[in-house]
Amino acid sequence: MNVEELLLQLSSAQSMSEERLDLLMRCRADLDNVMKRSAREKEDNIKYASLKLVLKLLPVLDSLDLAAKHDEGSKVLYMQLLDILSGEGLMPIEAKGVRFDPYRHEALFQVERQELEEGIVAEEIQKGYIFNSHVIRFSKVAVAKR
Amino acid sequence: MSKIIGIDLGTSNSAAAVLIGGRPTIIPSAEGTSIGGKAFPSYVAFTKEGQVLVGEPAKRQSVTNPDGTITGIKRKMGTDYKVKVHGKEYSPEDVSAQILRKIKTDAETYLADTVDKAVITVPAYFNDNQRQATKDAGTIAGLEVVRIINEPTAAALAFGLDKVGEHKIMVFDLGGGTLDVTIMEIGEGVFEVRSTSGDTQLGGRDMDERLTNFVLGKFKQESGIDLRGDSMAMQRLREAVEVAKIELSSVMQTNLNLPYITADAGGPKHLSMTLARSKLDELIQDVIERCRGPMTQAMKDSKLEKSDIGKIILVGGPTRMPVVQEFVKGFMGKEIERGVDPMECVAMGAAIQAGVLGGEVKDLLLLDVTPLSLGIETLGAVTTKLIERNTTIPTRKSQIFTTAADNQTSVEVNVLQGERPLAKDNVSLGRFTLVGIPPSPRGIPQIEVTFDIDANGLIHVSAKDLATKKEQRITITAPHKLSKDEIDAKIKDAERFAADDLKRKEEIEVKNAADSLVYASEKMLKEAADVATAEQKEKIGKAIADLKNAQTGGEISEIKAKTESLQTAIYELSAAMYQKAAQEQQEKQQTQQGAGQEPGQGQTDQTVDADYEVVNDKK
Repeated sequence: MNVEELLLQLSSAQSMSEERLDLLMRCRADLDNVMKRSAREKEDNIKYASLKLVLKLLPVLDSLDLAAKHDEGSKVLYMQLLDILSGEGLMPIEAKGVRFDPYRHEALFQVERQELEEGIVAEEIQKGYIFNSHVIRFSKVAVAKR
Repeated sequence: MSKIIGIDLGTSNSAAAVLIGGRPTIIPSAEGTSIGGKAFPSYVAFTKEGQVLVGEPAKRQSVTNPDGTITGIKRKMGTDYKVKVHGKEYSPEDVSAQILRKIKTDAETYLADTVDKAVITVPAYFNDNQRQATKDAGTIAGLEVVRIINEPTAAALAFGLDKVGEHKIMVFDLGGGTLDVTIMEIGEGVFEVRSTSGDTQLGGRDMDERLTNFVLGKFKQESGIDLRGDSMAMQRLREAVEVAKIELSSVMQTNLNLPYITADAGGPKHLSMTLARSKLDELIQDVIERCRGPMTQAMKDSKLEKSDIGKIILVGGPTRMPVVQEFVKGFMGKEIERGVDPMECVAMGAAIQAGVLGGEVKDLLLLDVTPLSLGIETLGAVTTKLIERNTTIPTRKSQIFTTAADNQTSVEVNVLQGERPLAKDNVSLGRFTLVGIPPSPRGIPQIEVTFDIDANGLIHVSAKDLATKKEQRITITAPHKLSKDEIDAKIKDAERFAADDLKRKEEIEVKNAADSLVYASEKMLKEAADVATAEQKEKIGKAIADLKNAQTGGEISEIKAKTESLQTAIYELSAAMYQKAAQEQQEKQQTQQGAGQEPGQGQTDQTVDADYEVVNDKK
């Protein structure tokens, strides 16, 4: 084997080692990031563990809210359920009378209201909720226009 | 080393993915992380206050700002069309750039790294102008578009169809509002589009509408009230209908319950009905039927026969519905490909392409997994798993075992592959014997068994006596190359027999526990001869005899009962021993502690094992 061949072999081995080192570093970086993210997600999971159930209970809360208009018993039930859910971190979003905010409200339509400034929420069609500082359901609203 | 991301820039929704550890992973939008929504709605809004909103918030405010909200801009890409908003003009590229910039920012948050390169997908029928416009939109957003690829190509990549040789495929992409059918040819990593066809006004939205109208009609029939005018009721209804539609993809029927939906003079009214999948299928039959035209057209244009098509891929949310899948299957007379989320596969395929371009996807990185669990046989012919199935290789795991009998000088290692708890139900890959263990009481020797699977799938198993450092090893070269079907069958078997197997395993454990208790008790009687009263000795002796009898009888419940009574008898004795030890200690003031802690006594309770016994778990 002559010098040239050896040099060729050397350079191919070198480039392969560089390539592998690069891949190794990528893998390491990936792993490191995955671990960081998984730690973060774990924290979130604990914080939002009850989120799924709370989300499923929102329609029940809506129904009880509506029923409360008809009888006193349902009103008590509504308050009881709301109390429990607030304890878990659920909070209703303020809507009627405040300025429309696309980060908390969802506009379904506009209504003409002379007494209200344009862009103010005129009606709340469905209550929105915040759960541990995240909006889990946007307030469905009608927005005033002149 | 920043990553290249893959972007599915859609008409109504966009999505992005990135390769992490060689696996395409969907990038969640900043708003969507808590609600589980991962997509970016393709909405851009310019508010009167001069704010720019993109994605979810833009969509939510669209009715209050119809002139300032832009969606569906993809349909205008590559044209001279300009959107005029509040006196300013925006090109389709400008608007798309806003969406891309939002994706870039959210991806950077997710990855905690800068992102400046992307692969973007476009429909197969996009011309050069449209492709160039998409590329320009990327540039405006601060992204270098390293490649534009076709959406069906990306979907095929996500399904791994580029790796299975030459064939022809159909990609059926039914979205919220459009249908695209593409016939492609794949060979040696080259994707060639043979034909495309579609319908720009057909999709999931039509289906929702059908179902909502049906529910409205039925409620009116029953109560005489039309809910159409009641926006609050309509909102609740639409949400419930959407949930019901999704549920009906996995169950045959579901309930729609909306109490207090409205009220009339007679008091509150409730909406409650059962929806069957068959009803939904019937309602949307004509929507689905409209897919037939584009499919026929695409086949005709491709000049291929249905039998030429090797694989069918479904893309888009509505293709999750069984009735849609059945329709496509029926039309083509062929099974469809499964395994990748139809909503995410385009973005995922783009991410795979990005990985290839970024040099991340190489053969070296294609890590394999062990299809079945690996372990060894232990006391009572039980399989003790060391490496669980689906573990990514290369991997290595050690565990320490011990002997099952006094003066045992050799152990046999039987290497097993399979999911069943009992050794005889699994495949033995090989066995070897480690000899020369110094004679000692059972439970004392420490034998470290190590499984090492290298990148080529070769399994090296070694057993080492930690006292003498004697070692014996075996390399299993062809670990039973099983076909995918065989592997699936084995996993199914394990599930089917799970209850039976568990029972048998428990029985063996009861027997093993009895065995070790007898051994421990006899040893203890000998050692504590001076402490035990004659009465205690007799009681324990009888309990041991009873248990031995039960063992010969083989009745599990009997063995269990006798084990317990022997245990009680032993506890009395050990309590007495501790008491005595405490007394002695008091008398001697100090000296050594814990005279009751005879060596070996602590370990006898939890014998599970074999030829050996699990002492500790060392990775």
